[in-house]
Amino acid sequence: MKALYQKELQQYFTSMTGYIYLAIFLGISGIIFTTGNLLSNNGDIKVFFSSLFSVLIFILPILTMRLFSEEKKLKTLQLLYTMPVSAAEIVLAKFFAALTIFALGILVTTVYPLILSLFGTVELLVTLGSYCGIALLASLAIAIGLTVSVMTENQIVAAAVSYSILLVLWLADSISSFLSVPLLPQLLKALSLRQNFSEFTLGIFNPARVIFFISCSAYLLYVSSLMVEHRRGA
Amino acid sequence: MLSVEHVTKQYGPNRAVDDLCFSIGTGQIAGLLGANGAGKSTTMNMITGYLPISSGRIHLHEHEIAEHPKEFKRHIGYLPEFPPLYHDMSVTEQLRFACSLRRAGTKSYRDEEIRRVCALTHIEEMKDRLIGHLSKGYKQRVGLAQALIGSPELLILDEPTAGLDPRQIIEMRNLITQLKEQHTILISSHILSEIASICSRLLIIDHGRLVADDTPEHLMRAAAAENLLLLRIKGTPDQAKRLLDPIESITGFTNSISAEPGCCDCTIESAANVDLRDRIFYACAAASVPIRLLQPKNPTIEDMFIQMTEHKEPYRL
Repeated sequence: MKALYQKELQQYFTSMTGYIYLAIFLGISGIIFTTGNLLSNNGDIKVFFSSLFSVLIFILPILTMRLFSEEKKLKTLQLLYTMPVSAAEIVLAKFFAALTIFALGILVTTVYPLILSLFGTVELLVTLGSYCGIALLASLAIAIGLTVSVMTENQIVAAAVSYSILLVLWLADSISSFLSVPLLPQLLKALSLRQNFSEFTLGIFNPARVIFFISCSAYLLYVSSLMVEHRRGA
Repeated sequence: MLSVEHVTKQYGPNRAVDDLCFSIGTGQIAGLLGANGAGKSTTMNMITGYLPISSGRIHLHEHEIAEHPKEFKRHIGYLPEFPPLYHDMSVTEQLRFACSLRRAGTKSYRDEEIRRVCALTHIEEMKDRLIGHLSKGYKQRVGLAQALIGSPELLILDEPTAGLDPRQIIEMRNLITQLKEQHTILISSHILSEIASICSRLLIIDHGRLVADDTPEHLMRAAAAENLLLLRIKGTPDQAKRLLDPIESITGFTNSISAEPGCCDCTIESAANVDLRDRIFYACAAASVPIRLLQPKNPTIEDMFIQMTEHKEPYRL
């Protein structure tokens, strides 16, 4: 799995996808921090994290759209299928590589709370909770994007479908208020990314929310490896 | 030893491979022949684990592909028709990646292994080039080098010379001939003469079924079960017909205008144990028709292939 992981990581930078993602992410997060905190004389880091959440929803499909789609198109999956590696190893290597690129970007943003701490007090628990929430949210978004990528060999379709799913899950709690069908509003609220994420930005570390993100990500990765195994040669 | 037992591949209502059975002994080099869509690539893809099997079993020694896929795949090197290569990697990076996937020993062993396969496939000078910048011939060689990583016991080569120019075909053929010293090889190709010159055994597939499994010599002999004579006379096709019609042992003949002016060519068929040459000679002499050419027509490997794939019943199973 290590070799696959390294190959994936390397390909993010040889294909420019990694650079493009990092440039967009750091550019937008920099603008949010500058306008929301520095120029507004606002020491509340929650402002930054709340906006960062919506940015990630839009840009994480850039990282996941090529994961399987490109390998299918170039027929390089044939190499992986005929080598002594399992479908689960392939899926996990790709997942962790995408997560690593996300982590690289998020690591740079840790300077923002440090900058704020120079001018006032930064709530440590809120900051840690927000980073934890962002990491869990990104894991789920990457798992969704990866699952979609298994199903198509067109990168644009993979990105568009992933983005649509993430958008629906992001707006799920808002949509639920318009529905009068029994159980569906509750289900949508339970699946709402915003709902599950918002507690982290308040510094509340609710195990139920953590379990939600981890279990959904793990389930999607499991489904992806089953699909990879099932779609051998397709 | 590779053993394929009653393997079937079903795509919905279509059966791409139907109850295929054969085995290849250690050190053998077997050629898989068949028309387009006969099931050659499907068979190879199933043996390498790229395609799941609908029913049947495939063994390599004690390893069964469904039960021990990792162990099974560790002993197989595969070069598909289109080599699976990452175009944004250099040749060395690609081979290093293949080494890691095969879990081929320590770093120094891997470096040595990469040097070995590069030397064997003559791609040393391309080691640092990006694969996307290589010609078709070099990509094919890198694909072969990748298949050779870790010295797998069984090499499966699907159309290794497809798309290569004549010089590259000769080089690839020489390379494969070299490889048969150390590997068991299953190879498919559309170029029948190439297969016949390399392989010690031929497996012919038609509509997913094995219709022949023997040495090239035996298959050619079987194809020569009917005697064929090539006759060229100075005369017209009508004259040829009048001469040949009365000879009872002739089972069939075709005639055509010869490339030689004023002549006619006839292909004459008879049973295997009948020699018609004397009777044809006397018939022509009696009619005062000069014979310009009279010779047995040996079946080519192409004739043999067409004959085998036209058979309704398997030649040998």
